[in-house]
Amino acid sequence: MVAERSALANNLVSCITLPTVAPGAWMATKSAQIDSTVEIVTPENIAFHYQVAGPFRRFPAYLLDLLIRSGLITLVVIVLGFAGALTGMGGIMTAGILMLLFVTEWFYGGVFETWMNGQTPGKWILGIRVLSTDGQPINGLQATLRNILRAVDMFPPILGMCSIGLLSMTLTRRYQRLGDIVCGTIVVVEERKWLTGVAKMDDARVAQLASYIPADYRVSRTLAKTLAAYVDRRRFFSIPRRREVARHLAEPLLAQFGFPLDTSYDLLLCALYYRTFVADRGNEERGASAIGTSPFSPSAPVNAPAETPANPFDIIPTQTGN
Amino acid sequence: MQLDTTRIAIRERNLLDTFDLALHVLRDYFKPLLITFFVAVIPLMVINDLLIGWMLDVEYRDTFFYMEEAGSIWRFWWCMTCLVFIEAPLASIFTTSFLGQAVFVAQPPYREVFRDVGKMWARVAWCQLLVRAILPACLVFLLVDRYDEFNPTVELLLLGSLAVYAAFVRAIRPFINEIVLLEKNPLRSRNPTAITIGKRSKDLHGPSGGDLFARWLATAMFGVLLTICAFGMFLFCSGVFLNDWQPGPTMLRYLYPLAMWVVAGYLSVVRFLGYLDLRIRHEGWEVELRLRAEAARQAAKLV
Repeated sequence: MVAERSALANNLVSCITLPTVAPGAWMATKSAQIDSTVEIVTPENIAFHYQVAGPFRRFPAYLLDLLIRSGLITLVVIVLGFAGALTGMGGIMTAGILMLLFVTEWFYGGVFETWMNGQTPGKWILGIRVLSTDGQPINGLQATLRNILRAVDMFPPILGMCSIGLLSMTLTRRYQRLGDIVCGTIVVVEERKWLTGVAKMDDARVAQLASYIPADYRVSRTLAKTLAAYVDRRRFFSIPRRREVARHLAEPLLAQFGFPLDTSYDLLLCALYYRTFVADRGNEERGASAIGTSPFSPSAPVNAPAETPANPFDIIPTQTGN
Repeated sequence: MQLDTTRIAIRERNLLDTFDLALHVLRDYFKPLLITFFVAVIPLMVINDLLIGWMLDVEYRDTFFYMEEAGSIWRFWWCMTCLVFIEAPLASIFTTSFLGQAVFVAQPPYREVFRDVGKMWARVAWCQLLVRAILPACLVFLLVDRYDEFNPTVELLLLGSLAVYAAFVRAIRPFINEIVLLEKNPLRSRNPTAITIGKRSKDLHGPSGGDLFARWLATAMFGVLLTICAFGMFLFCSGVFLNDWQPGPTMLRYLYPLAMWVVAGYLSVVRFLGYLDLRIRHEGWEVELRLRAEAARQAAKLV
């Protein structure tokens, strides 16, 4: 019950972060795109987007689990070995070790995935989780069976290791190995994305230039998304790169608005962004007063606050306003 | 062609995600990738066999580890590994060109892919055959007398040095195929402001040299593991279907290179996706595509 609640809570978090879980969503139709993101519709008819973990994403988790298992076995073997030598019950201790080997080999994954809601310690460290294909948490049977069937996925042994599993994961859209297909499970990446709000534009010229944009100019939905993407990423670009990137859209816009052609491309896109997302929100959210440098000064970079955060340890989400 | 409607989802990914996504790409474009890759690989396989296939033409006994033949087997294994390793980027030229078009076009015509590569043959020849040591690696075997004993100076030292050199160049400048075939930069230009292949390569790879090297190391590790996997699978199939559990010379001569080429094909897809990722991280390529697409829409509206 607790595990189910926890999974539900996770699902809700995924639901809340839905728009940013798959930033590739703006490109083409999901079904037509090659991507590792899948949509899962729960029985309650709620759609979630998950990034499915493929074999290479799972491999380090498997190695970690192998390491933990080996460490555990080594420790127990040493302890039982000493105990057997001291008490003279070597036979019983050997039987205990063999049983431990059997149990850890076949039930380590099953027990942990049942107990930790689809995660083993390795998966927990690497941030991946096993779910049912309908988005529900897995039950004990699924967890145990999929781990027992790993032996089939790792066939043929030694040199051709994991070829069956690898082939199966390549052929299925959700990277399912045979154990996953039989048990109706998938492995997903638990990534928490930050929702970034509207970027602050502290440069006075942005608001000033925005006021010159013709009032009857309507920003389309695609243009608004494009502007948001540009403003979100521009802080990572050098000034020449900003100019290079912004030029594609800014040049036709400058001509359309009748602005001087030497207006900074970056400034124009920021101004359009400001007009679209900020200006209509009320005076208190507007930038500083539009007094000072002319917004038409050529190629002037916009001094967004991102470049000079007050606290150098601030993470990116704190650099944008809401 | 709408630039923001791509067939492969354009977003930042880490290396492991790239490896996983490459499996999807491989599955969705299996036939074209197979064709474009093996068009380049088959001639290279023939050349390699002509160059070093004779090393296995010795009387072969029962077992792979039989001492008298083991020397020639390991000799062939080493030379073939070095050759395939050095030649792998050349084998992926058609694949790279195909994938470059496949990002935006659902089914790029093969003719266009081959024509595109044909137009760039001089640049490919310079960058791959000469700078990346493919031609010297093949010429090394002209220094070896056929049916002669193992020549450590030529086969170990010279070939090994070329392989290390190629590895080093590829570790720090992995995306030369993409620069030549997709960005189509000139090899040289009298115009000092023109972006030549060298300049572009420096600009693209330079800022993330350490990251690229780490990625190359991880890729090499996976490459080795996958090659073992693929060859092991061939051995297993041979054991099951032919009841031959000993890796004989035929298997080593044909199936071992094939296993390496299959992995090289897969890694060329990984490399292409890595190129997209680098452009996204360093140049905001996805934003640029969106802006260009939006500009085209704006222009269409005005018209």
